[in-house]
Amino acid sequence: MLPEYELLSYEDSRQLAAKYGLPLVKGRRFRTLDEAKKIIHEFKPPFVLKVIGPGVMHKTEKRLIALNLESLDEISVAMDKLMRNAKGMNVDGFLMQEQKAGVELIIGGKRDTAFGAVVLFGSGGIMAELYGDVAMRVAPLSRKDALDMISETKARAFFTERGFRGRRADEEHVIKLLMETSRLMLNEQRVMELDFNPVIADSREAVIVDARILV
Amino acid sequence: MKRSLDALLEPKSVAVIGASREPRSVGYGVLQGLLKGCVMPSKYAKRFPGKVYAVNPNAKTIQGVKCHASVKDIAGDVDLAVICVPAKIVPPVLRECAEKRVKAAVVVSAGFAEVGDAELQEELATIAKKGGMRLLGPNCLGVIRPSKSLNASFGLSMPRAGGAAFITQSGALADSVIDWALEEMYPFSAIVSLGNQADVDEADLVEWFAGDGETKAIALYLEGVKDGKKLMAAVRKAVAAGKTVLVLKGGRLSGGAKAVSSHTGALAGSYAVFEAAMRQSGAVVTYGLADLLGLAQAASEQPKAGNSVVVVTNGGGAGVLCTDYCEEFGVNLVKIREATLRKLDATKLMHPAYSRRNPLDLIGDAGAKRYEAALDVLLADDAIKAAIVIQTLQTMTESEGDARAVLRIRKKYPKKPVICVFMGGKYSKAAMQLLGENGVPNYDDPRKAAKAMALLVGAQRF
Repeated sequence: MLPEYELLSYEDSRQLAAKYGLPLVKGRRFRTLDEAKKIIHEFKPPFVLKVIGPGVMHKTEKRLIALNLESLDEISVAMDKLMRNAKGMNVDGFLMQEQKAGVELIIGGKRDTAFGAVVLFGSGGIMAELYGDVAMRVAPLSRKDALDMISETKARAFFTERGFRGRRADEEHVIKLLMETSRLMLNEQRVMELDFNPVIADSREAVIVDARILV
Repeated sequence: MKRSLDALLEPKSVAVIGASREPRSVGYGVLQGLLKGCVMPSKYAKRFPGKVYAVNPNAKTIQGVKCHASVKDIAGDVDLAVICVPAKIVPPVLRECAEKRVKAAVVVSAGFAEVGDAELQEELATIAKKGGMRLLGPNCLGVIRPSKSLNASFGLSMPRAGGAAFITQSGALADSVIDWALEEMYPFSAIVSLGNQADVDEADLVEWFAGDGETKAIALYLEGVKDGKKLMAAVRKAVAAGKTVLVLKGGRLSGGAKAVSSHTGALAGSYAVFEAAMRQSGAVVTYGLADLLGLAQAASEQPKAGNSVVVVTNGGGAGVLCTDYCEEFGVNLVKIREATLRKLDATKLMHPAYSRRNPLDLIGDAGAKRYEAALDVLLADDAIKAAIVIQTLQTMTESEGDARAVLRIRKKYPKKPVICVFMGGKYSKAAMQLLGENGVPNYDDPRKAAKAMALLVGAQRF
């Protein structure tokens, strides 16, 4: 359902994110197994394969993602399966990424008719909407706003010194992401909504694994 | 410093345009509001001390006031005009006000944007702007300021004067709030109904009350916000000036069902954004009218203090409940020191089985003397910054005496907030009124008191 906005392509999203120093996980778009063969050595296994394109949403539910791939053979099998699942969709090809482990977060942006640009933070992944564990602020965000947003959500448990159940995320990287997202929303008026979901964070970094930018 | 809404909120002279001889009409009620302070009797009502003029071309006098054919026929200056003529003739009347150099106008009349006639409303805004007039409404109840004996509205009665400014996008709510306030002793510095907001909006008023010495708390009932950034700036200004700003928004659950194209779009609905923006600006978000006004009452009549609170009760159950609620809202119940307990013993007024810990259970036979002695010892302790006083109605209870004891304690320790939970109804009413009238908020449920205390002590989980 894309009522009025258009989804930015993978390359354009990547470029826009880079302009604000927002780290997208390493990835390359390709169409054929031959192309996959050429780029596979740029990545460390395990690999992730995703179907991308303007008509693609809810990739997990529609089985348009293959995880834990270790070899070109496995990639080949996954490509066939994903293509079958994507039948009838408006598709641009595949995206190969390195698989990340860590805490799944969501960072988002939207425009509110009364308050203007808004930045959102919370527990991410496919359960983001189910749990609704989010905090919001009207842009521009101060550093304190970003800190408060983290502490308003249950995800704050991951940012403590001991983390939660062996998982720990670093605050500074997430604060930077939040403040840069705020800057992007204020500077790029054509961006109407964006989802960075999941953002995967651990004690060393926070990277955007999936970016949906609507213009 | 003169500010542009002074004529609206602190007028020296008021003209009622469309004053009527018909006792059940708005034009009659507004004039009576100025002449007597109320239509339905209130002991807080008095005649407006400034000049009151009536305008009605078809009458000689109404309620003993000489009628003028037009506002332009009035000899003296007019700060504020209250207009209650039919919508179609509001524009010419407003033009006459501009020619007369009236400084502000309240347009009570309905029949503008709310019935689809945005053009007619736009015309009013233009006339007001050109004439250098501020305009409240149209389609509003008006302005009430108890301490100035100003009832420039068709509000039926006059509430107690105090520190809460109630700004509402619903005029009808204001009327019921006034009636309610006479029971609950809500203290108002002002009640202002916004109506359709052709000119003056909620942010203008928040900004004005931010600079009003009488106002300690600003309570807003809103249904829609047009300029969110302006409201945020006004709220920040009020909070920086030490005011407590509380908001309640109607229509919280509507408008969430639109097609959404992202997780963020789904999660950040318009109410969620409103709430986040208000919190970000330093306002307190409430979810009910009783909450909005009950908290505004506490914030406007009690000082703020450190989060170190004692609960004094004459019943165990109420104390247990209050402890739960205090924990829920982050109110810290301080441990009573041994030295303080010894001082309590030394009063020789404690029951042998009194609890000797917080909540301090004085036991069911506690009378006013025991309450007063206990509170005096506890609040003299530097480590105790505030008290919640619970009274359940038992055979030996002297509720009015207990209320007077609390009031004496409140006076003795002016920097320490004291709020009450005199639980009951019919037979506790006199004591509740006594407390409320003298600036000690009383709540009928310990949960409400715990929440109010959380606001006063700046608790984290508020």
